Amino acid sequence: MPNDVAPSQRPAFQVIADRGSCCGYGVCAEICPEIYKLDEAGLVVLASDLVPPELEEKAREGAESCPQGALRLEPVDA
Amino acid sequence: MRAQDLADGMKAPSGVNSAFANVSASFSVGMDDPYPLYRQLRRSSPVMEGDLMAQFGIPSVHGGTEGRPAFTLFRYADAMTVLRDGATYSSELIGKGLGALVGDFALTAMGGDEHRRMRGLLQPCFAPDLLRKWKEELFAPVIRDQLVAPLVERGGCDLIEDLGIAFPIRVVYEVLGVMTDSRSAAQYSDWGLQILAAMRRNQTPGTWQGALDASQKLYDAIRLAVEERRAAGATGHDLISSLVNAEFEGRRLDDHEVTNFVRMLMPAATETTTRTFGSLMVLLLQRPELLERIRNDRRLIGKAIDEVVRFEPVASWKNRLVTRDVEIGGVKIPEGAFLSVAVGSANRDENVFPDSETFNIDRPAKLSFGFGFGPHMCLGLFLAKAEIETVVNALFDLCPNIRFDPTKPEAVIRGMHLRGPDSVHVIWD
Repeated sequence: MPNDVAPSQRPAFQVIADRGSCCGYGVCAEICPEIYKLDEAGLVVLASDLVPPELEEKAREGAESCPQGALRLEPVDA
Repeated sequence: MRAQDLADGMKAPSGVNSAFANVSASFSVGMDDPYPLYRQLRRSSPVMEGDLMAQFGIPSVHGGTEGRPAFTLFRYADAMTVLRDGATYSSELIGKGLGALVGDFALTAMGGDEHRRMRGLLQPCFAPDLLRKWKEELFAPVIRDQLVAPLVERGGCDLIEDLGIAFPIRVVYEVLGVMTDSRSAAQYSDWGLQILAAMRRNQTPGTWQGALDASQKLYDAIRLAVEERRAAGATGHDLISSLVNAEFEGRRLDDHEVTNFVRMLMPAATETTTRTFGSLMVLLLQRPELLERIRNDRRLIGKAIDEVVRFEPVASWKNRLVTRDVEIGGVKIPEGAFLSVAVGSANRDENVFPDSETFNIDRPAKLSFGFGFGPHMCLGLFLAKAEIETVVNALFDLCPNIRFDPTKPEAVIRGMHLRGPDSVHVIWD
């Protein structure tokens, strides 16, 4: 995991990305670039699938804003 | 390319300009500033019984709406709920409106699995990496060298009549890669606008017949181009070649489908881009300090375009058919009801956008609905943004100190739907 997303507390959520549904709208990467990146083809890749608590709100908004419904947050299993 | 073709490319023939003005007149319904009304209704009746679009006579691309219970939505959250869920909130009535004019392949009217499969076929044809090739190889040099550069020595122009109507047409012509000259490209666009004009309410039978005729002519011309392209191997980066070669889950498109799809793009791909560009330029020219800041930092053009799409969405209204009983904002809405979604209101919802009635390119990234949202979100939005960015860059580079022409009428963004300025007169040093 890259240093810039190192969690300050234990992550409670992980991002599930369906790259097959991604159309490269890029809304997620605009809203939460710490988690969502676009690769060379313009499709979503995750900088980290675990969401640090301080990024939870932005990560959730990024996922909910996906026009394709290709992103969702799920609780990390205990 | 011959010199005469270059000259043609600088300015669209007057037929397109008058068709553009005709669509403006039909869709704007004479209201310059609907935002105070939206603000009031967003507070007093965010889920309003009745169809505000119909009350104002705003054309819709949906048909078969008569006699249905109707509701109008003004809030961001409700717009998102509706646009996200294509199963509960269907677009099928487009098939009885615009769809009846553009054949049996109206993507915007499709739903469910059929739409998913078609979108899967088409999406790669508009993917960001392909778009970069289009921009670099096909349209950026044309916009700069053939459309903007020839204007420079005039010292001023009307950004709509002399540039804004022409450039999206030229981009479509370059991206399709088959039209033999810019005059025929303008003819295609004129036919596209005639189809759109037939969406007006209380139209005469002649308008509909004229649109059907235009649609058939458009079909015949594109079909010929598609057949030629397929016969030649369809090896280029152009859109028709991509469509001919597209495959998804074993399904491919035949000539009829490619033709119908390209025809459907004609009313969608040009005049909306013209208006977005026009509104962007008006908002920047009204704010010389902001314009100067963006001129010095071109990375901000993208943010400025996103904010225009929020603040002045061209397509200000979306419609959906409700397919099961639902409740929105405490209001019961029955199956079969027709919804009008006020995108122009949702995009200025103060619960979501602080200081929502201010044009502010520095606001935090946030989804707005100017390109729609959900399964039917605009397929061409990257293309539209890239075109506009290219034109603005060229104007900044080639037209120093660009500003409003004080001797000409003030540029006004107007209309309740398909909003934008009719003219933007500017001068430069």
